[in-house]
Amino acid sequence: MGIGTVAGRLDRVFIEGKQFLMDMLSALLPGDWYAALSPVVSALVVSTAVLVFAPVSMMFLTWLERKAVARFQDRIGPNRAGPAGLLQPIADGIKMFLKEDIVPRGADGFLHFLVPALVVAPVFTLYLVLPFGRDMTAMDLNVGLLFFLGASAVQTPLVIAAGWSTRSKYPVLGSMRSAAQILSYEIPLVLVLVAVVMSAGTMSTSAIVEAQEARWFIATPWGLAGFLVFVLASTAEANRTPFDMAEAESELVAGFHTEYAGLKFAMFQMAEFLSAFAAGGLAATVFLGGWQAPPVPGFLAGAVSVVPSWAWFHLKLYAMFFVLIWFRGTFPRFRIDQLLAFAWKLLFPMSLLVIVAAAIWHFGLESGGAPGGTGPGAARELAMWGACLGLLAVGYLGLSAILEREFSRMNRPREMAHAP
Amino acid sequence: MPPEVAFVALALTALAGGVVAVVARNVFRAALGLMLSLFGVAGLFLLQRAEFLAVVQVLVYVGGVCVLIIFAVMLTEREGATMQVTVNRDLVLPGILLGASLALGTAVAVIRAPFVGSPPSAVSARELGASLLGRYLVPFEAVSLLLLVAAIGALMIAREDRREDRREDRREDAREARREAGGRAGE
Repeated sequence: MGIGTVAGRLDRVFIEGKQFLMDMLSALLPGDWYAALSPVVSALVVSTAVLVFAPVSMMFLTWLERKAVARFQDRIGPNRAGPAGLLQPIADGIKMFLKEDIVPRGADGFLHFLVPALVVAPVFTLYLVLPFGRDMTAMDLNVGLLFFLGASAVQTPLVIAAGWSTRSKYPVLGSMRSAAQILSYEIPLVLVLVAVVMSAGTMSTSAIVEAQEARWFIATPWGLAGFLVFVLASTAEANRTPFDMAEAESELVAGFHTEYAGLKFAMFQMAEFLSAFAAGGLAATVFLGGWQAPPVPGFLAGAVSVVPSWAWFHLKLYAMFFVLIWFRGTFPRFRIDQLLAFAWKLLFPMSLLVIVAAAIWHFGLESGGAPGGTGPGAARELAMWGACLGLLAVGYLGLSAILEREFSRMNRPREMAHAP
Repeated sequence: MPPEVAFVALALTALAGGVVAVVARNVFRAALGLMLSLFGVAGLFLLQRAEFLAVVQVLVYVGGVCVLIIFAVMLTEREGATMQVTVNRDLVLPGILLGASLALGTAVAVIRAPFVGSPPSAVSARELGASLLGRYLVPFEAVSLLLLVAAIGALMIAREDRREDRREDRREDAREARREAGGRAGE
């Protein structure tokens, strides 16, 4: 009983913290003032939390990434500033502040100033719809998933504006590539989410988490395939290695933010990191059961339920981000033509197959038994696994065989020129 | 915050963006002004609790249409990037008068229109989906087919160009090879 209550309190610690602030306010202000101000203050408290959470996470994500990539490459990584280099992000921040702000001659000065500020704004709004824990969604819209997609779609024109406003060739080329890439990978990403929405029957992020109470979506055949497509597509959308075509150092200097220095560059860096982190959060939300504890056998259930829901979410969030770091440390970069072919010729048809598999799964299983009640028999479930996985595997093998042939044809005439 | 304040702020945002879109001499800035205006309209939808409409507004218009416009601008613009704005000064006064009378007419019509009862609540995404795939299935599918045809058509036109290019390249290669062979024969 004691432990249960403490765990419950721990689970709700942030909600109660906010309630405490609001109670204090209501004690301090006259009644009608409080009534008028409380929605504004409530919104301010939540948005302040998001605005603090995101940059602080970003600081330590950069540390984590540098440390982890260093390990992958058999180096030590940052180790001078603070214990284990933990103060490195702060040193970097100070360095960024002190750098000269260079605006190229002929650049559109106003946009060059404005775009770095604008580019982080939509990224912060991504965090508003992520359910950080039980009852911990900052803005629980009934179209939360769509909101997330809309906010990330705003980045495309801003990236182009960033390149264009410098009037310099590498940024313009980088921003064109970036836009082509984001648009191409947006399609499989959205289609995979369609399968999620179909199965959960809602577009609200918190309701999608609740729909996974019995079974995480990754534990279904379509969910597994969808998760893989989602991770690949969102890595590409966040411009991360091996899809960091837009800033391929060897050919484009640094892509669309070549001509930005100091804090302006830091803004782009932050937008990129935070959108990758938010994409990891969305993957955790829609496939990995969000803030739900993993299903464990009975004797472990007590231990698992002590861990608060927000801790589960963060665990999954960081696990997802670690996968992105892993990618970066392991895979070489795609070429732009391979990159686009990969999106259109493999991920796009696969995401359509995921939708079909989700439909087969849904009608084969859930319509059989009462929803939430006693499920259909194990034999039927096994048959459904076989049918869905068979469909996905046939599709994957066929598509990848075609893509493989295409890639080898793409490479043939270039091999000589690219030989080291 | 009373909704009136939010309404005025959003409406002014939308209008300011619209003004920028129309008067900006630089085509790219005009496109960004259009984006601002569309954001303002999305905010107005949100204020009316039509969340679905607001999000789709941003997704389709800002993420899709504006990007297309920007691409078109970037691919077609020439040196200097400022538009040759041709203003016919004789039309300024009639233009203002026409605009003002249109605004006045709309305002009078809106103010005098009898709004009875509360406005119907915004349609949820679920109802929207059900009606698109139920009652309005045929028009919905017809529009999808039209868009598909348009997409394939655009693709065909784009590929046609590329095929032309490739054919030209091949012709050039052949010419060069012949020239080379001829040169060698001459020696």
